[in-house]
Amino acid sequence: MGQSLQSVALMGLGAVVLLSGVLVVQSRNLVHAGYWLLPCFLGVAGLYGLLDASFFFAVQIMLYAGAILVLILFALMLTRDVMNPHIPQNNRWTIPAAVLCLVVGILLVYSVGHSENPSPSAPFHYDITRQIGEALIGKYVLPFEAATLLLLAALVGAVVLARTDRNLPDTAQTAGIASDQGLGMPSPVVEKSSSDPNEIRQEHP
Amino acid sequence: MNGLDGYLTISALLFAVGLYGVLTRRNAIALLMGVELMINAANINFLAFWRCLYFNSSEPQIFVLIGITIAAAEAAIGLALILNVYRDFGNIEVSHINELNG
Repeated sequence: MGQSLQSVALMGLGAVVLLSGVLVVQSRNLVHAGYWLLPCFLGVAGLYGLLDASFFFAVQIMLYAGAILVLILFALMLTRDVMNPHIPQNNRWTIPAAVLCLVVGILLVYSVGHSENPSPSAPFHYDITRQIGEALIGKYVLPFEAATLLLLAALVGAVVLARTDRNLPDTAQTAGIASDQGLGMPSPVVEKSSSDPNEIRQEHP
Repeated sequence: MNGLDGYLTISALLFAVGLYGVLTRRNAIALLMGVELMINAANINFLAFWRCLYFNSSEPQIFVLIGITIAAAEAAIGLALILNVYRDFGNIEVSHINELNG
């Protein structure tokens, strides 16, 4: 790809990312804000593609545009008042926050402009996926294992946190009923109450 | 605008936008969206530095990979916590959840 074409692509992707980012933080309807995350994440994936990081291009689309976005949209739709455009979604610190963020952004861009500016080195024919894989099972096996452990703990923690019935004795009781029914030989006591499993939960909330 | 400059400028501005979202939103999920924008800005930075300066090392890529993993875990746990708070308080506006406020 020619240099000029590349810079045009960079500017276009940057415009997409920044515009949709602004809409994400500014939309009054939070579901729209969630949907505006999609062009933002896809634009970031495009930037990774421009940087020859093909592996992260795929990971960004699968993980951010696929998983995290769906998770956020589900959580939005499970909670109330997010679709109502008459409820203000920003607090009263909008203007001071805008000034602060403008200052932070200007300072960052200023410091970028005053540092050296190397271009990406000549086109390379590197298999970055292979490189990452070898690094992950070689030098960086410990961080890799720690990350897998973290993901496992996060999954279990999310399931435990989001469970509806957190009452422990109640849970044990219903679990016992379920297993007895599965065996096909319910004890008399269980049989009496298992006619309406919802009734038990109402008795012991 | 083609070199490291362009990428760093975009990621700096994206970071500022995410910071604005975190500072002004009232809804906890919208706050989380701002955090995601900031994490994306950091990842762009890592990969831009890798491509332009540290071409032969794999550290930046490992950083980004672990960072994305942690972002995913953070989103899952954060949203589960937010759903729990919603069940207990009836809304998820961060200024209303002040039971521990002294």
